[in-house]
Amino acid sequence: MADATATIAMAPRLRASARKELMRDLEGWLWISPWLLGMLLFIIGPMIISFYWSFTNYQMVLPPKWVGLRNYADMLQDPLIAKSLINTFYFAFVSVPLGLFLGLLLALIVNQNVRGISFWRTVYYLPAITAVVAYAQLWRYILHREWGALNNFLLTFGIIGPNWFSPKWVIPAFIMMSLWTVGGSMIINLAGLQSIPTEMYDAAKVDGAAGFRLLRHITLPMMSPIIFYNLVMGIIAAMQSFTSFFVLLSDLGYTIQAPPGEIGLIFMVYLYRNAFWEFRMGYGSAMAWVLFVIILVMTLLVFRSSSSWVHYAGESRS
Amino acid sequence: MATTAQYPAASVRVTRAWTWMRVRNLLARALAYTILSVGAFVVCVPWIWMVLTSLKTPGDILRIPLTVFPTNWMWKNYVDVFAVGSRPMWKYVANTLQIVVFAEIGVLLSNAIVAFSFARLRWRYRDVMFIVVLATMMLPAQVTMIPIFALFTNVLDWRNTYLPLTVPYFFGSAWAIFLLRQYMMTIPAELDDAARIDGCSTVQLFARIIVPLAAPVLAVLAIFTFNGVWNDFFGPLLYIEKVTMFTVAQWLAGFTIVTGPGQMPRYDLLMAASVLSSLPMAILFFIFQRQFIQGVVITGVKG
Repeated sequence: MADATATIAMAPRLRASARKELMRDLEGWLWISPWLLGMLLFIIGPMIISFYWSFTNYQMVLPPKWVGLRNYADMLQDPLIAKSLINTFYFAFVSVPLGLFLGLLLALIVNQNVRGISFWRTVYYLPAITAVVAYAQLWRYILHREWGALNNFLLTFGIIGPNWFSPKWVIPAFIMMSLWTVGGSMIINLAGLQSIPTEMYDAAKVDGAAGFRLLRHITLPMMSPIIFYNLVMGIIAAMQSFTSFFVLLSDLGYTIQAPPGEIGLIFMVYLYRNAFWEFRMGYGSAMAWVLFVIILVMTLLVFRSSSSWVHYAGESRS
Repeated sequence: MATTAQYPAASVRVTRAWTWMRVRNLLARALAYTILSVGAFVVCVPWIWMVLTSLKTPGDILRIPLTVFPTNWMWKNYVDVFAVGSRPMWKYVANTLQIVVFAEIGVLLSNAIVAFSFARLRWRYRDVMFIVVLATMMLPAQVTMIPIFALFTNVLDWRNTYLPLTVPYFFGSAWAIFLLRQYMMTIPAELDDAARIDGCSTVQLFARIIVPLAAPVLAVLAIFTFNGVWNDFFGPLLYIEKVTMFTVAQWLAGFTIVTGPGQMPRYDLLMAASVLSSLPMAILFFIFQRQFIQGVVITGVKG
C-alpha cells in the first residue's frame, strides 16, 4: 500500500523531470543551431553536390550532364595534372620538413635560458604576420632576374643568379620563401618545450645524463606529439597552397586576374583555372576530390606511422 | 694527517671543474646568441628590403648595380600610395573594413553561442556532436568550394556584393568553436550554479557571466578573424570583379603602375603599399602579443 502511494506520487514528478530533461536537450541543440545549419549548408550539402558534379559535365550554363568516370579518366590523360601534382608534392615534401626542422632548432636555442625570449619571438614571427599578398609581391621583386635583390646580392660574389621563375628554379624559390615564415613553427615548438616538466631533466641529470642525451631521451620524445601534429598540418596546408603562387606567378593587372601559366603550376592554381576561370565545374570537382583523397591518405599514413615514434605522456609502452 | 692533506687538492679540482663548466656554458651561450642574431638578421632582411625600397625613387629601382639605400628618401611615396591617384589605397581599406566589421560580428556571435552550449550546457549527445565538430575540421575546403561558389553566384546572385565574404561567418567554424569551448571549460562551474540560484536564465548566464569572462579568448578570436579577412585573397578573387569593390589584398595583387610600356612596375610604390597593408597586423601583434601567441599555441598544438 505504502509502495503504491509512493509510485503514484512519483509518477508526475518523473514526468516533470523527463520534460525538464527534454527542454534541456532542446535548449542545448538550439544553442548549437547556427553551427548545425552552417554544417548542412556549407559542408555536408556542398560535399554531396560536388561529389555528384565530379561525375558530370557542368559548365554552369546548362544543367550538369552525367558522364560517369570520364572526368577522372581525363585527369589521367591531362599532362598538367601530373605536372601540378609533382610540383605540389615537391613543394610540400621539401618545405614542410625543412621548416619544421628549422623551427625546432630555433626553439631549442631560444629555450636555453636565452635572455629576451619575447624579443626573439617577435623578430622571428614578423615575416609570418606580413600580409600574404604583400609578402608575395615583395618576393616577386626580390626574385626579379635583373633588378631583384637576390641576384644582385649573388652578383657581388661573382655568381650569376638564375631566372627564379624558370621551370627548374621556381619550386626551390617557393621553398626558400616558405622558410621565412618559420617563426610560427618556432612559437609552437617553444611553447611545447616550455611545457616539459623540469623535474624530468633534473631526474635525468641526477642519473648522469647531459647535453645531447637529454635532447635525445627527454626533449625529443616529449616534443614528438607536437612535431607530429605540425608535420600533418603542415603537409595538409602546403598541399593546398594557393595565394602566394597565384600572386607571384600571374601577370600584374587590375581587371584581368588571369591565373598563371604552366611554370610553377601547383594543384590548387590549376584547380582554380579549371573551375573558376574556364568554368569546368565538373572537372574541377573531380580534381577537388582527388586532392581530398590524396590529403586523406597522407594524413592516415602519417597517423599510422606515428605509433612508432610519437610519444604521448601517460601512455605506457608495451 | 693524510685526510687533511687531501682537502685542498679536492677543492682545487672542484673549482677547476666548476670554471671549466662556466667557460663551457659561456661559450654555449655565445654560440646561441650568435646563431639567433644571424638568423634574426636573415629573417628580417626581406622586411628591411621592403621598407628601404618603399622609400626609393623610381630611378633607384632600375639602377644597376642595385644600391641598398635610397638616393633620396621618398617619404612622399606613402602619401602617394595611400591618398593620391585614381586608385588610392584608402578606398580599398574602407572596403575591407566593411567586410571585417560584419565578419567580426558574425564570428564572435555565432562561435560564442555554439561554444557556450558545448562548454556550459548539459544535453544528450553533446559529446558526440563535439566530436562531429572536430571531425569537420579535418575536411578540406576545396571539396565544398565549387558548390558554394555556384550557390552564391548562380542561385543567390551575390556576385559583386560582400555577402559571400561575410554571411558564412555567421554559422560558426570548427576551430573557433574548439578554441572558445576549451577556454570556457576552464571557468568554474560553481559560477553557473550560483547564477542559476539567483534566477539567471540561460541567456543571462551567457551574456552576463560567460561572455565577460571569456573576453580574453574572444579577443584572440577577433584578432585571428581580422587577420583572416585582411589576408583573404581567394574569396574576393571569386566573388568581387568590380575594381571599385576590391579588397586591399586584391588591390595589392593587381598593383600595376609601371615605369613605362613593358617595363618594371613601380616597385617603390608597390612596396610602400605592401608595408602599409602589413601595418595593421604588425600593430595588432605588438599590442596583443601575448594573446596572439597564446592563440597560435592553443590552435597550433591542440588543433
